[in-house]
Amino acid sequence: MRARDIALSGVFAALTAVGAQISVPLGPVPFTFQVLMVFLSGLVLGAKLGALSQAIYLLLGALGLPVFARFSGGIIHIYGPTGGYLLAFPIAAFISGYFSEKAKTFWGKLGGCLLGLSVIYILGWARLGMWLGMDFKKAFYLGVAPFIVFDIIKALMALVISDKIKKALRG
Amino acid sequence: MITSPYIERDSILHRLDPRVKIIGTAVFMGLGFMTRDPVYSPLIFVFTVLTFRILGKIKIKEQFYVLKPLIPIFLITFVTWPIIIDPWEKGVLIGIAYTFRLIGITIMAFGLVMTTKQRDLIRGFTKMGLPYEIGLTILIALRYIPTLYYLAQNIMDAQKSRGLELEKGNFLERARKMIAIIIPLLVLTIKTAEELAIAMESRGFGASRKRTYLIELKMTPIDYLALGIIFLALALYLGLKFF
Repeated sequence: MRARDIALSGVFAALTAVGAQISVPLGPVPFTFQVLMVFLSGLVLGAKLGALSQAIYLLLGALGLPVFARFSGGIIHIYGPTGGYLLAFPIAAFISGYFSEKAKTFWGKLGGCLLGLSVIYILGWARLGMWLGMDFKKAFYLGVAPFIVFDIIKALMALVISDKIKKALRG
Repeated sequence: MITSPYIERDSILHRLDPRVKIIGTAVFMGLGFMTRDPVYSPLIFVFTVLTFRILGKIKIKEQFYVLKPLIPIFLITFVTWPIIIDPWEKGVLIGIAYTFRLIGITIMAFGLVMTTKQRDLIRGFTKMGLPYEIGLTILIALRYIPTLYYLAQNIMDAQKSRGLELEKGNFLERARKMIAIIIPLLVLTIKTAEELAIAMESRGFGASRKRTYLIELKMTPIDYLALGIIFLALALYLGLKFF
């Protein structure tokens, strides 16, 4: 691996850790930058480096460092009810990165982000459902439905941001 | 604030080679997960707490402190069992047993990072086969978490001083305002990474296929003794379970 790849993966893993702690109060559902950073790592770094940065992020959390939401960490987060969402992060970053590299239009990239988001929901939903005694209907209303609109807006934000960033860095 | 859970002490566990601690944590966590008996499950919790208290000199209060953010997960774990198992009184007892087992396993994992410095941990993993590049990426991530956190705070304060009101407006308006925070944060982050990469290469990173290390890990007799104890425990457990 080149030095640039190592440095970028490292700082984007750190950025996801920071993004997980920054939240804007919005009624019942806390809006953090964690999922936003997952999309951005794929869109900005590309499929492989984006996935690597998210895998590094999971590794840090699994080792017990407080990088998950609300300064929390530990292998139990991956084993626990919300572990499915976390494990989906590298996959989602890879998918959004892959589509941003291949697609030529905004809608193609948005499709990639939404596909990545679907993977997060599917894995998160599956794990949460298992944890609730195989009650997948309840898991859907607890862990998927309240977040859909906000996360789609995050995907749109990620696309706008990555576009502006590429312009800002070109030159 | 994002800080390392490491607690400085002069203890046997702190002085052990990080490779031994990694293997020990993996083995004992595996044994913990494999234990299904509701009677033996809480013993995992007791043994773990006592081990880190006696061998690691970490106060029980300090061990429980790192568990505080995880209380919701433990509560969900406990509440689930009475729902699944009939009669619910039996579910309560099983829930108590399995929740304590989960807490014990969690303390094992935290114990590793409470008794080992981050750099030593990465060195241990690298010596055991983790590609050096991955280890370096992890260390870079660790190093830059506080830097980027303060950078984000500074950008927020700077934008607020220019009149950006983050707490006002509906969701869409706030989303648009957050873009004004994220873009400079990402641009500065990427520039930081590129400067770091240039600095690394100008210092010879990657110039040679084979690299040397400033600090070498060495196994001492007490490390071999600890390894022996770990594998003895593993053999005992497997023997009792399968024969």
